[in-house]
Amino acid sequence: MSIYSQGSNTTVTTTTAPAWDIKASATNSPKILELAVNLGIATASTYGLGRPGNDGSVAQSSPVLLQAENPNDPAAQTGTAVAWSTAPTVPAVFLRRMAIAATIGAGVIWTWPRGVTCPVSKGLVLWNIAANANPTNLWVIADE
Amino acid sequence: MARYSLATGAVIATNNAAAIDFKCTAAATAKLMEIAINYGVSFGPNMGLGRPANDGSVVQTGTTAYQPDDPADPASLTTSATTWTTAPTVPTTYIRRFAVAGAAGYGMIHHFPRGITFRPGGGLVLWNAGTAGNASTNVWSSIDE
Repeated sequence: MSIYSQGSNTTVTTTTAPAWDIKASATNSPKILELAVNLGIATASTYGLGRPGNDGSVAQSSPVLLQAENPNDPAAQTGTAVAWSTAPTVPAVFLRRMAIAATIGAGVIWTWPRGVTCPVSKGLVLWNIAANANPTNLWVIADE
Repeated sequence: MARYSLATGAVIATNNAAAIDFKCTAAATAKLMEIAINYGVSFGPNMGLGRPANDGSVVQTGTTAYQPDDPADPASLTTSATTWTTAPTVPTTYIRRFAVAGAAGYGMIHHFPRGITFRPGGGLVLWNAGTAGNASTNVWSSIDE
């Protein structure tokens, strides 16, 4: 297992739609250790995190792979996306849910000491519960 | 032991009443590792977290089960509820009591490094402690079960 990180942003801020997702490849099963959400403009925002209702069927467009914290480790197999040919659908039950004050820089850092597992070809979606800040910054840490 | 998570965006706002509770079955025990309270609108009530005075006798309705952090783990035996046939009663002594400024997005995350144990069939209640609550409150929690 190795640690991988990525910082990104999303401009997909439509209410009741996916903002961002992370997905395991067909040959790996990462554990998400940390996910941060940080507003780039002063728009009150509400986000939820969960497993997509169509988990396993999501098709990411132009996924961006996480980056190895030790460059000697193999390239990550886990990717994030903000566009999809088959988009994530709303989770049946959210694992985390957060309202964020309308202040630039406001946000949340969720941590999981033992990790939240993304099974093979499955993942997690950050869901726009409201019309959210555009852009919203993100960072994620995974053990893969 | 495995980790489970659950989040909701709606709780009960009635003054001096349970906002939401968490309970395990009689065949299980669980430890609360983390609970976060985050206001969705600009109103921050006083709240308390504790064991219901009638712990073990609470009867939840419309329950939502915790979700495994690893889908390979068994389904959780711990649930949350905001409706009851026998509602939680006010804790004799709170484990945490707090107020947060009345602004959307404000809140608090309580951590319990060794976990707050739910007795078999027992649990914890988040209580609207002396002021009307905020129905648009986000609550997430993490348990070890």
